[in-house]
Amino acid sequence: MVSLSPNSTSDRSPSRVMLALSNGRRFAKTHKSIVVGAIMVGFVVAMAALAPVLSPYSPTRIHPLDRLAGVGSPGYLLGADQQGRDILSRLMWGARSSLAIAVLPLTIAGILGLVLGSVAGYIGKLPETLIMRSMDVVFGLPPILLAIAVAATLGPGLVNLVISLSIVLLPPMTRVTFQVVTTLKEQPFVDAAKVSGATTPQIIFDQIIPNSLAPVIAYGASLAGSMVVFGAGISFIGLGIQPPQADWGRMINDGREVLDLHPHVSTLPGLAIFILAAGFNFLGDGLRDLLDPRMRM
Amino acid sequence: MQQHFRTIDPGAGKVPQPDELLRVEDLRTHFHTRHGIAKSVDGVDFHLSKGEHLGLIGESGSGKSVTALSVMRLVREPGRIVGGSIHFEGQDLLGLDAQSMRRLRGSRISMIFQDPLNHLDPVMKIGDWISETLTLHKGVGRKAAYVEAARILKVLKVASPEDVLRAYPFQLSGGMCQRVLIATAIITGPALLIADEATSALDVTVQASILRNLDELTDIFGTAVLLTTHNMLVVRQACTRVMVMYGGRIVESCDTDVLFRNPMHPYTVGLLDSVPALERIGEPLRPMAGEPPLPTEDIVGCKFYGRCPIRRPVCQEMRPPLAEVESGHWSACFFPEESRSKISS
Amino acid sequence: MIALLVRRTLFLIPVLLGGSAIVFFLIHSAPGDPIDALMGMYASPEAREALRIKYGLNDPLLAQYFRWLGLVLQGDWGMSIQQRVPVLPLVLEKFWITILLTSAASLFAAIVGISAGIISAVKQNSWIDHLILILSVFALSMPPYWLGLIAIFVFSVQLGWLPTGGLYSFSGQMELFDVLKHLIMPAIVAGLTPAAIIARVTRAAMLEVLKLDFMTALRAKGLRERTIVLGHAFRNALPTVVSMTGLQIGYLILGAALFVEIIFSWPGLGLEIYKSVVGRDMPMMLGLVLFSTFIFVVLNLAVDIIYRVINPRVREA
Ligand SMILES: Nc1ncnc2c1ncn2[C@@H]1O[C@H](COP(=O)(O)OP(=O)(O)O)[C@@H](O)[C@H]1O
Ligand SMILES: [Mg+2]
Repeated sequence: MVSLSPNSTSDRSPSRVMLALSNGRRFAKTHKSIVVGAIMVGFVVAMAALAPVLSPYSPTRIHPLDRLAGVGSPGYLLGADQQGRDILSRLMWGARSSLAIAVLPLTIAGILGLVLGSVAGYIGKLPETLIMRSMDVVFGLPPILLAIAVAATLGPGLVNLVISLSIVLLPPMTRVTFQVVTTLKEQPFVDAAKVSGATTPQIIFDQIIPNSLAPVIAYGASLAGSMVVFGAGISFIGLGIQPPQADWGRMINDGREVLDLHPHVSTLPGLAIFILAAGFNFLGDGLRDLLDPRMRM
Repeated sequence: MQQHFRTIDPGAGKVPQPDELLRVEDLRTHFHTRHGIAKSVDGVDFHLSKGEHLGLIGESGSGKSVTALSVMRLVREPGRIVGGSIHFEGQDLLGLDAQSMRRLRGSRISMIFQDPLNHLDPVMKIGDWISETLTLHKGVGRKAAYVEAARILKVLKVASPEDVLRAYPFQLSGGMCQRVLIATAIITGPALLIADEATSALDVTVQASILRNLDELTDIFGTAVLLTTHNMLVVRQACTRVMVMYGGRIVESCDTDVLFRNPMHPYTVGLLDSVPALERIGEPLRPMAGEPPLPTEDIVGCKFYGRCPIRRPVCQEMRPPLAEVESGHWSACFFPEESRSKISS
Repeated sequence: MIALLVRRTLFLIPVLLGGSAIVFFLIHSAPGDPIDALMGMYASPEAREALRIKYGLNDPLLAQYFRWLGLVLQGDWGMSIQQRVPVLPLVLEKFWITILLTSAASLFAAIVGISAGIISAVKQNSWIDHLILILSVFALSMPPYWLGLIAIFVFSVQLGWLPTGGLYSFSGQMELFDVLKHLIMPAIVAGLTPAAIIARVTRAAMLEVLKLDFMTALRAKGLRERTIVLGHAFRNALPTVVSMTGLQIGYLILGAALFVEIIFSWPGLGLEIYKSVVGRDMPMMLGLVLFSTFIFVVLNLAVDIIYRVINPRVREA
């Protein structure tokens, strides 16, 4: 039965990605936005990973004497904040939570959405009504307020922020999977699997989910950039990562009070958010073109 | 090298006829594709007199639509007219600026298409669609344009024109949409109407009635018609003269009844053999063997060489010129006399 | 068509009911004691308890929900714990201030986004198309709360052209020109991300239309390129553009505007939400979220109806 799976031949299967990657130069030329995005995101990932090695100070160490040191002052490449904490170190450590906020909720909501959307789309009937109508209710709520309400309920912290963003992302991920699956289940290979005696769960997990992966990933990737901005925004309000831990959104808000004389304190973290979000957005655009040309913009 | 063998525009001679409307000379329209240059129109000559109905017949892919669009100067990227000339009412169309060319379209030269539903604006009412042209070219107000549109639709045997004018395209049948396109094309009284496979998507009875309508209307306005089709019977019903196209070239040209009686090109013979003409019902059908060459293939000689039953070595080396075999009958074959006898015997 | 509208409208009820329940239970299961926020840590236990009873904070959640729902339907949205005024009148007052900002931002987003999308589609693959696409990615990636700070720093702090925030100057009464001066920066900052999204959607929708057969028919009629693009192609893309624009306005009222109101101290719903989050003012937060949900849902319905009305293929079917 497994041999009937069209995975190996489907032109949207991961093998196409590998093939494209192997043609390095041509790939770079035709998929400029993937390359640009990968470089930007890669830079942030490297900073986050190497923070323990590269960061000049601990992100939480206070040097009252050096408060509000300017950009380029000795020992402080990017200056220091009101408490004299090194901004560069805080940016490097803060990259970790920003990356987690961009990737984790999408992954969690993506996996749950794939399962729920596949079940609803493939089985139809009661599961479809239950799943899709309750998603409609959640989808009907304004996303930012839902995230704020959930985060306010669960209390501040990275884990809770990830949970609240996952809840917001679940309805759209489920809907996209549902739409992909409703067209997918008319394909002949699903009938072939049925004829060969596969059970419904087998079909869902062996046929439906693997084949709806590419478009769902493409859709999810296109949201990563917005998630960075959105998640940092919730930290900005004060509901995300708590001080003294470094977090970009929080750093912007904390720096607001000295904006007039020391603009670098709040604008540098914003620049970091912008770079990461733009990287993900370029990457997402490129991946969408690569994985799901139908959605090309 | 081909230039040596190119004969002048069939029928027209060097001196332009007094009633000449359109003269196309050595027209070349190429598409720059990933697989190479497709010579979709590869040196086409023809002329059209005022009020004349001229057919252009050929298999799908032979270059009929591209020829039609070239006359309108509406070939879209990656296609381009790379050579030749088009004279219409004494003007050199290829030399006109974009603005003047635009003014000719829809007023002096109109066009209708194979798939009428998809050639109408899906969110525009039929009445607005027809009057848009009239307002643009004749400055007629909206109310008067609606009246005029209803009148034309009546001539086209539309039972309740007012209802049609109020409808959207998706609410109408294919035949009705084609009548609308015809009405739009003819309402400004153009000198030339290009009908590109205008009836091919319709079923046979609708097709016949639309061709009759078209005949009637063009007679009223004195409009000449260039009608492309892959259907021999359509040509027979609607055209006095016909050209056969193959691989981007005209291979035969003559009066319609002559073509059916006495074809002078092996490709025409093959075409006639593969359709059940009325007087030939009962004879066995002989579908033509082989495939036309790819438009990107570089062919020096006759494009029909690969499928030709009477081919000789010379045909591969030289392009056979379109030459007048008998008065008003032109063939691009080195052995026109053999075409008929060799195959049918 | 009518039946469908009725069905869509009826669907508002479960969404609002479900939404309000979700929000209610979420906020009421939140840790932390609102009494702390209200009275401080050091109030006497008796005083605390009296207040708890007064606000019904000791009842079972479900009972609290239904009582609250009943009151909400009667227009009694409770009292703001922090500001000690009734919630509903306050929310309604702030709503108009937010509407002022979001209308201006929407206008900016729609004009800029739609024009950029049309230009981008018509000049597909040209340098200007690439430029617009790259700028749209930038705009999408720019946190509004950061952009707002930069704008304040440049135009207020450095150049001194525009006020740093608020709805109107402290000294004067609300004069039109004065309000406009306060409005311009927050409106543009809030409208930028929606503009980018509208531009991308418009471009995609236009490209879909521009490749259709009837484009050739329009040219064959002798129409000007401008008429073809604006009068026909854009008219066909309009339903898609409108529904996307409407959706963006919905997100805008509650999303970008929230941050922008905080940054520019724009005294609307967003700033109130921020204050209620910081002050753990649950009745206020609940009222704000409920009201916003209502607006969001109604706006989505309106967009859906407009989509159907301007799309003859749906309307006349
Ligand atoms: N948009 C295009 N891109 C590339 N090639 C084209 C395009 N349009 C037409 N062609 C080429 O021109 C040839 C003739 O097409 P066409 O005139 O449409 O044929 P016909 O109308 O006789 O069926 C086709 O075989 C094709 O190779
Ligand atoms: Mg054709």
